[in-house]
Amino acid sequence: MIKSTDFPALTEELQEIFNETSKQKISEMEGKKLFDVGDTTVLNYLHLVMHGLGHPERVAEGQNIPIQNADEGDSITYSQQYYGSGFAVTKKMRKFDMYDAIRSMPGALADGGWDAVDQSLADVLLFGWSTSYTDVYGGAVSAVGPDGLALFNTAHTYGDSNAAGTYSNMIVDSGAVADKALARDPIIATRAIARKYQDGRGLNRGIDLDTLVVSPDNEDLAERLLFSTQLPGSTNNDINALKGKVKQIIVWDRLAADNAGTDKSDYWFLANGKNAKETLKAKFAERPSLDAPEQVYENKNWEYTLDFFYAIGLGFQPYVYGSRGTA
Amino acid sequence: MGVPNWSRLVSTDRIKAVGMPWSDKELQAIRDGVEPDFVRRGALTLEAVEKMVAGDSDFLEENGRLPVNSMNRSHLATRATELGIAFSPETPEDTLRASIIQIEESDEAGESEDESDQSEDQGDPEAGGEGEESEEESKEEKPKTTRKTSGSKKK
Repeated sequence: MIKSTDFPALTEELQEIFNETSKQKISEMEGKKLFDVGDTTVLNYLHLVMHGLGHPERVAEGQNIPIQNADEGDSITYSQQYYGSGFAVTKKMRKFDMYDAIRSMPGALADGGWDAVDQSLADVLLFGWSTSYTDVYGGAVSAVGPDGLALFNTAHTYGDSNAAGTYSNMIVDSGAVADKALARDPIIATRAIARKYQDGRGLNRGIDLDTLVVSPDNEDLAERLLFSTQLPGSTNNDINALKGKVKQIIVWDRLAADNAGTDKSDYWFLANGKNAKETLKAKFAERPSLDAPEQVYENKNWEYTLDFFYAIGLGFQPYVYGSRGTA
Repeated sequence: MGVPNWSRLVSTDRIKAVGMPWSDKELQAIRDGVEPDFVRRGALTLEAVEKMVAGDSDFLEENGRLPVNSMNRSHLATRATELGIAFSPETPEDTLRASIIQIEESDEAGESEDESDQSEDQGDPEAGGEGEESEEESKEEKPKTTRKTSGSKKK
């Protein structure tokens, strides 16, 4: 029988199980490879897109070096949301030493918590063509970036007061057709477009799309497209020029379906591995942790709870490209 | 998720309204040279803009002011003040416009009720004679409007 005096030891053990499971889950999370997962202490986190300084100018002899002002772009505010879950160690469990049942619960709680967080990150990509959607927690969320548009759009604006024109971050093939299925042609065409990216002032600032993000269904094809020595699926011996260009494949299980269970395994994405973190943000004010309970006297349960605060959002969008793979 | 700076995006015509991006057709119209404010009012071609401008001019001539749908922020602020609407610089333009239209429409409805009360006092207008005549007169006096919502009385 587990008595009240055993409470500190049991709590310590359950927290250890929770922490071990969390550590394992975090190491398996694919979302953190793309998202800027950071911490914050503020309720409303203001992210300001900076477009850097203007480029250097020619300076005549004796002339003062021009001091540039930082080029401010759009801003966006991410508000922290509170989430929680818990389990109860009942009097019956304690009375009859139901250790197996008790010990299984913190792990399951950690699993559920981190799975939900990772799915919420995957959904940012899977619902990237919508301006709103219902998230994994059942709430309606606005899914727009600092320019007021969905993540993937053909006419993103820069937000810089000196900027003109628009840019697209849709994956297209050599015929400019969007939403193509994963194939060599759209990878090459989109990489070329990104390499020719110009900032709002028309200065060439090429983006190297060096990361391919796919669901498990496309894992085999992705590896053949990117890692074969010769051209995949062809009888000629031309070299596979993509080999070594796209350096990283992220196979993300959660891209197979969105939180509502809709099959989205054909969706695929190209990103700049480093700068994608400017586009995709996740800010934690409190990471999931298991709190020691108080006894609830009405039912004599010991209630353990998990709670956390975090916010996800979009930043400047040109570093991630998407395709729904339908064409 | 995040909340962008909507007022900045609307005021710089980068989106249609708070929370609402331009549609593909609207975006194409802007690229074709149609002013965003006209696109917001539904004009997607330069011909449609010309018709809208002509309608606005007619309205201005007849009423001495622009129709509410073609007013800019400062015109809306002036009109809202005239109508006694309380607002602040943060009030979205759409909300201000909708409030003005609502008050003008309710004023019009009130005035027509007054008119019908007066007609009833004078006798049943459907009985013919003077009633029909006064209806024709009122039709002649009614200003032409470019849009249903902008037909308020001359001040």
